[in-house]
Amino acid sequence: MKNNGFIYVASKYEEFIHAARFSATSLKDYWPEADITLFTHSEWIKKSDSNLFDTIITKNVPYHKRAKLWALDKTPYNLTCYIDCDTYVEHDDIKNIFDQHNVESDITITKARRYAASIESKFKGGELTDHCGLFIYNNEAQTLNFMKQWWLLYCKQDEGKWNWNTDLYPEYLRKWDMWTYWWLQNKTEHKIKRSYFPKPDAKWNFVYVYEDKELEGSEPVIYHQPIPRKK
Amino acid sequence: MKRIIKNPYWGNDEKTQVMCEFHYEDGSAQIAAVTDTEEGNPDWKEIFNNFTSQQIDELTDGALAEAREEHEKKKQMQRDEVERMKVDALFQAKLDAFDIDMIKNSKNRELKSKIRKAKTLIEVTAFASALITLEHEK
Repeated sequence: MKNNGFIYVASKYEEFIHAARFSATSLKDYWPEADITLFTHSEWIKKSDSNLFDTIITKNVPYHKRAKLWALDKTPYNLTCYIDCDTYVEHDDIKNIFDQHNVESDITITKARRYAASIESKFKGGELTDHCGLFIYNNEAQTLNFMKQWWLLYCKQDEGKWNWNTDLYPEYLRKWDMWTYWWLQNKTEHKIKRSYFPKPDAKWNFVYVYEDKELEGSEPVIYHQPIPRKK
Repeated sequence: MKRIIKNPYWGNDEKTQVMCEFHYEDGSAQIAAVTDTEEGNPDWKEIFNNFTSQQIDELTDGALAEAREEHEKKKQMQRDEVERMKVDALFQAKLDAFDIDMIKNSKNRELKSKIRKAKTLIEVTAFASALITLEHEK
């Protein structure tokens, strides 16, 4: 098993493989030695992808809007940085990303910003505090179990097979994997130890609607911007 | 069928027309435009039996404010949509640029970074062209 590496997951919509190439190219520009694994569909692969991605996994990758959750427990690394496809790297500090992981924790993640969320993240029963677009996690048994449970529960959630008290947890949370993550972390025995990236954490996952003050004078290392979706 | 008149507001500046809702006892409702007639329109009479001119003035102001707010909301949504399309187009241009092997495989990190950070389509085109020219000269 390799030590540290990045995983991208490009599934269901072909725009995501283009975005994954864009992001991975930027990652290699700043850190040529970075080890990158891509989960995607075989029919999307180009010959040149093997120059960009160190490992490409296509076996059994589901055609699913949240295939990323399926992939998480199949990481080939001891320490993994999951990174959304709609990102790009613009700083040499990317080489230090794995040093940001708190070894006392299982997952290191950035904080969600309520003002930047697509939905109201605060509700009667709690608040979605963790942004699930980029995080570092280890390969301990409890962590890989959490990732597996995240996928399984999201599938139930998406298919309407898991229902909850909508007075406390509104129904609009249903399509969000951040909600599944929140539930597993706060309401189940599958919870894992979480730490946040050191401040300013936003520089490691600078979402396009974030305010500049979130950077506290730093330059973003990773930009996060939604990709255009074909209608 | 019995009906109740609700929410009247002026239909014109001259205040010779009232727009209102007729709510029927079977649950149905319709919007009506009511004006007085030489013979005396009973609907007009009924409106002014139940509402004063001042009340209709206030309801008119409220309806206008609501319509203005709705109009502003629609305009803002249109502006947001135009902005989103611009942002999408810009990012798509960047994705397309990096689909070109010569750009993707270039070791010129500075120009690649300029493409990624470009704020306009023109910048994407300019930096991409500059990079391709430099790669050709190698």
